[in-house]
Amino acid sequence: MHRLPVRQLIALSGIACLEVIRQPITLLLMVTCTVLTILNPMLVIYPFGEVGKLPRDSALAFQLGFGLLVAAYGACTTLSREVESGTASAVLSKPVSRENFFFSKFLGMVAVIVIYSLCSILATQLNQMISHELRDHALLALLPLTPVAGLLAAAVINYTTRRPFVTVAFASVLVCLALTTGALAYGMHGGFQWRIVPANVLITFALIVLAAIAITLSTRLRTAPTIMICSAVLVLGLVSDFLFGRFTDENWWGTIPYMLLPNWQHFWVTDGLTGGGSVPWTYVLNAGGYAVLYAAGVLAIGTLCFRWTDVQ
Amino acid sequence: MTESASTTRPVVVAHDLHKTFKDFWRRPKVHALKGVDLEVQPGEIFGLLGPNGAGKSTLIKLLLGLLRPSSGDIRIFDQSPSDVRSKERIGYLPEETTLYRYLTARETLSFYARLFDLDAAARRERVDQLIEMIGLARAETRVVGEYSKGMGRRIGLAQALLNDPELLILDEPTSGLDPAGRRQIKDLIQALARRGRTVVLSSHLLADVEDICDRIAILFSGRVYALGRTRDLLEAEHRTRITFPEVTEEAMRTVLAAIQTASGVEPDVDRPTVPLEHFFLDVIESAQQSERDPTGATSGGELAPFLDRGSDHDPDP
Repeated sequence: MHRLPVRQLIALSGIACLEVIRQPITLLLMVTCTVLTILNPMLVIYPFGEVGKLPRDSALAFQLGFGLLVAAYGACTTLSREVESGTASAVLSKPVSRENFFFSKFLGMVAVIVIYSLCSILATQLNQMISHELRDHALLALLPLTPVAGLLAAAVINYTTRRPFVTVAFASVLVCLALTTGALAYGMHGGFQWRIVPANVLITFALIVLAAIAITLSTRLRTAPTIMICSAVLVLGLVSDFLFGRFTDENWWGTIPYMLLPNWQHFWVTDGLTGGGSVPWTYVLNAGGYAVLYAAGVLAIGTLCFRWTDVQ
Repeated sequence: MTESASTTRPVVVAHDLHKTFKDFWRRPKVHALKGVDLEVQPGEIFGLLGPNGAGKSTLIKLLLGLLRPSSGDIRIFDQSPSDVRSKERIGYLPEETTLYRYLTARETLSFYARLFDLDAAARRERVDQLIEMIGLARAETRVVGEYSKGMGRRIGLAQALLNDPELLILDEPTSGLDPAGRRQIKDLIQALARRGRTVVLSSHLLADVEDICDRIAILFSGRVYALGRTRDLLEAEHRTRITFPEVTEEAMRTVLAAIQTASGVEPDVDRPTVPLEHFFLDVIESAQQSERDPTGATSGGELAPFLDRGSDHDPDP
């Protein structure tokens, strides 16, 4: 009997992940992010002192920006829409605790964000390869087609096997990105740039915290206000050092919002990569610990909110 | 508490139950239930009737712990509905069949089966049997988002039966079904009740409720206005009906004269008609001999073997 909640958690997380991935808008956001990430080195006219810096920073910004939409929209889809559509009531009429149901939705969202971030990591690597090979026109023409090739493969699989297009497309775009990155990694200038991966991982942590906030908000709010509040939290958290941090020693009113808001600066380390620099994994672990603690605190509030929510 | 005492205790008890929905600012918005009192006994089919907004679905969601009462008391198997353990003994079919649109019928049932304490073999066996029982074996690989409403209701019913529930709560179980499907669902409900399961159902289809419910409660604006045995509530007072086979005109005149002499009133005479449902089902049954349903849905099989436990006794007269 003690294994039942764990089995439920796995089943519910799996379905939450699948439901979010099968939303066409999630695929659209993921593909747009990867295409823009791969294309943007071609749009850079002046490198600002370091080849690949501007495209790299843009790639990380794309991961964060589109990830915000994936996290907030996915959280709403998986919780508030399930409550509105009634699938939540069917599940909660089974011996499933509300805490288990709520936490499984978060775990499902974490899985979605990890898959999305994997695509983003690979697209960032392609972005850097293009940045260093701007004179290879054949490569420039072919690389942006990688996600498109994934979509075409998904269409063929959908036609021949009748598997759902969106789910297959998610997997096939990821596989195409991985194959292209793998094939080019050893022949290109700089190869696979492992030093950038920690920056992508840190943004993934930020997205997981955002997902925790979004899923907590969606226990009470609908999609539009959830996305608006998440965007506000993202902006305020990015500038919280400037807005509140400098007043923490002088005023209590600066300390409280500074403590409550997530400090995204911990996850935004583009400057650390400048000039061939890297981000130590110990820092990534520390930031991961901060993300876990912050998400746990937010989820605890969400659990309490959902426990007393009427599931209509 | 002895076992016999426990089995005769009501399955559902609601006492002075109130539910008020509030708006975002916690101000009262709708008083959905206003002091509902009722009990449901083991093995009975209990019908909740009422117009839209009467409080039927609210009462059902309170039974399931999906909503919390504003005041009053509600117990199910002598436990609070919010107690997760009580739900191991309950099956629930929501009003609108709410399924994950991108899963196939088999994936849907397998998913719901994993939420119960069943081993993998039992889960597989039950899913197989239920798919056969609801007649969707030929459509099991299609995603349920492509199903018709009737097929969706069948899957919804199957998920409600996965745990072989002692209490089955059905919100509009026959809505969206064709007459043959409605008949099957009604037969299934009666078969389950004969085997000792308790059924609480709400429906707008009064004929269905009249057909199968042992007791009914009629709600209006959150209050119970009538509660009792269906037959007692529907019995026409001061009327008597005598039915007998075809007789000659002369015999009829003799009988009518005798009744008039004895009672002093002139009786009405008419010929009974077959209910349209029976006539329709006869026509469809003969049509099914030669046609195949293009949707992949078939008429369904017998009660799933895992549900076929308990003594099959006739309902109380």
